[in-house]
Amino acid sequence: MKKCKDFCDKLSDYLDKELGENECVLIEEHLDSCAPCSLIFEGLKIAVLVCSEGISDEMPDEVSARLKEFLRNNCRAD
Amino acid sequence: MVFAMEEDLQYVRATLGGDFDAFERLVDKYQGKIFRHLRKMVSDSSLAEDLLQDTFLNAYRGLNGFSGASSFSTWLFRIATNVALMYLRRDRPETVEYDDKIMSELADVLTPSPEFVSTPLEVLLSQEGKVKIEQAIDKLPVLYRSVVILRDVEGFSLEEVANIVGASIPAVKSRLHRARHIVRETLTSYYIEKGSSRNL
Repeated sequence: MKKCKDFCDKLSDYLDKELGENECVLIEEHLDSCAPCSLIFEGLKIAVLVCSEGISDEMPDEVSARLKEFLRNNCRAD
Repeated sequence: MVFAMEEDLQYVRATLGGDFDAFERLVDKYQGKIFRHLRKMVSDSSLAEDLLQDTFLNAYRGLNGFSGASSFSTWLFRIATNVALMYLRRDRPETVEYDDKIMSELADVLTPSPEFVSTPLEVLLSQEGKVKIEQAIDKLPVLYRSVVILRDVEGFSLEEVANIVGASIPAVKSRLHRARHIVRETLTSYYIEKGSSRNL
């Protein structure tokens, strides 16, 4: 009998579609019948989603300007 | 994706042919993503700027060695990761060292939280929510932080992440599993606390 932790240990691989069909079925059956694990899985999905959307790649214009100047001075000197 | 890779290759070839403007197109395209990656790795915007300059200078000087076996972005992120790790190992070795056992125990904490999963996405991604996401990632050791950024933020495949950080795919999966659970646990604790303070 697998414990909840055994299922939770595979949730990250499950999200990445790294598991075989049989393991996916076992996990889906468990999630359907176990409310705490289902909440943990939903939380994991949301955590991955907000990481993908919540970290800005905006960079200050002056950082970009200094980078360009640095590269013009150093690359062209090569 | 294929178009983007082909476009990058054209810029690389043009740069190697002496067209510096082509290299600036590559800089324009990737500077924001590389800066974000470095900023998260070293947790310091000013230092990330120095490492950003080193990364593109190293890329320019090493462009002859780009074989095209991987995408240009994978190759560039590998340079950025190595630049950051070299700095950290030299100047802040304690930040690179980590204890897998401690990480494993941290990742074993599993708190099911209706408060977190029922929080609307616009709240999670509000200005305050984004600060909490940044803080949750910053709590991770650098090697764990880098795989979360590369996989979940930049969207690289597991194989590409392994290539960039110079680790095996099982090692990347293991770090990712722990890191994601710790980020989830940190955000869960925050939204449980936030929910209970609202109910006071």
